[in-house]
Amino acid sequence: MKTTYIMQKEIRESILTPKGFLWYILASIILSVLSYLFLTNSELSLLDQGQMLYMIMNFITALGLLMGLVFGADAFAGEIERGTLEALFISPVNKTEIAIGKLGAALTNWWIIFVISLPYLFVVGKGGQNLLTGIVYLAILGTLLPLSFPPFPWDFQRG
Amino acid sequence: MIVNVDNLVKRYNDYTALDGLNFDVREGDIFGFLGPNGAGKTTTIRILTGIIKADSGNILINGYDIFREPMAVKEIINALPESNGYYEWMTAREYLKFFSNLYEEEMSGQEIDSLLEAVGLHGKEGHLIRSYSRGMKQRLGIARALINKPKLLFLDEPTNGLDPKGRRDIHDLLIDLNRKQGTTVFLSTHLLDDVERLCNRIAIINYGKIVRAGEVKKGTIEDIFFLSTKEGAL
Repeated sequence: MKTTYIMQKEIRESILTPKGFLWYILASIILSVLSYLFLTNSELSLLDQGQMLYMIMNFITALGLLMGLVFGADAFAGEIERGTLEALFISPVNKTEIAIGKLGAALTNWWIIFVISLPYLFVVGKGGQNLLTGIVYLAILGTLLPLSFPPFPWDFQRG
Repeated sequence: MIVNVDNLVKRYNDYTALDGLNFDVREGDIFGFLGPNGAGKTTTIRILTGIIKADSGNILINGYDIFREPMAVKEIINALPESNGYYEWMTAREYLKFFSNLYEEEMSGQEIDSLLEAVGLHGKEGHLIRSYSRGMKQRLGIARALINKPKLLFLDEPTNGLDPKGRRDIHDLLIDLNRKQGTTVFLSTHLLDDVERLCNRIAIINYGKIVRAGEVKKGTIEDIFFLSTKEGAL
C-alpha cells in the first residue's frame, strides 16, 4: 500500500506535469513525422511492412528508454538534490518499497508511450502479418527495459 | 533511557566522522546536542534515524536496536533533517496527507488542519508549498515530523535561517510538545541561546567524540562549549 502512495506521488511529480505532457506531445510529433515519411516517401515506402514496423518499433523503444531514463534519473537524483529523500527514509518505509513505487511510475510512463504509439503502429503495419506479434513484443520489451535502469532497484538497495 | 548510544563509529573512507561515540538520552528530556561545524552532529542524527548505517557500535532507541529493528524504531520517532526538502508542487495539506499515509495513520482533513494550525500555518493549508517562506517551510517540516505523534523527535538545526519571531514560535512549540505530550526532543544545534532556553541536558561533540555531557546550568553554556571544543580539549 505504501508503494502505491509513493507511485502516485511519482506519477503526479513527473508525469502529470507540463514537462511530462510536453514529452508526450513531442513523442506524438516524432511518431507522426516518422509514420508520414514511411507511407509517403518514395524510397521508404519501398520497404515491406515488416521492415517498416520493425523500424518504427525501434524508434518507440528508444523514445521509451530515453524518457524512462530522464524520469528515472530525476526520481532519485532529483529527490537527493531537493533534499526530499531523507524525509522518506525517516518514514517507516523500506528502500524496496520506495524503489518499487518509483519503478511503478517508470512503467506507467512506458505504458503511456505504448498507448500513444498504438495508432501509428496500426497505420504503418496495417494488413501486415507481423503486426500483432510486433505489438506484443514491443509491450514486453518496453516493460522489461525500466528494470535495467541503473537506480532500480538493486543498486538502490545497497545504498 | 530512550536513547542509548554505545561506541558508535562511522568512517567515510579515511575520515573518521564518529570515533567511539557514547551518550544517553532520558525520556522526557529536551536534549541539546552541540558541537562546532563538522563535529559529527548531522552524521549522528542520520544514523540514529536509520538514514545511514554505522560501521560499528550499538544504538538502542526505546529498547529497539536501530540496525536490527529499524521499522519498529521509525514508528516511534520522527525527525526534521537540517536540509529538509519539500515537494513544492504539493499543498501543505497534500504533503501531510502523503506522509501520514506512509505511517498508515489515515489522518482526516480536520486532523491535518489542526496540526497545521498548531505550527502556525492556519489559513495557508491549501497554498502550494512553493509559495511558502523559509520559516513557513520549517514549520511545515515540524508538522510533518509530528504526524505520528513521536515519542522521540530529532531536530537538526531547526531554527537556522529563521527570524526572531520564527525562532520564538518554534521554541514555544517544542516546550509545549515536551510538557504537554511528553515528547523527548533531541535538538542538534550550534545556537547556544537556543540550548540555554530549551534544553535540560546536553552533550557536546567534537571530532566525533563526546567531550562533555550533563545537566544545563543557566549562564554557563558558552563557557562550557568553548572550553570543551577548543583545539586540544581532547
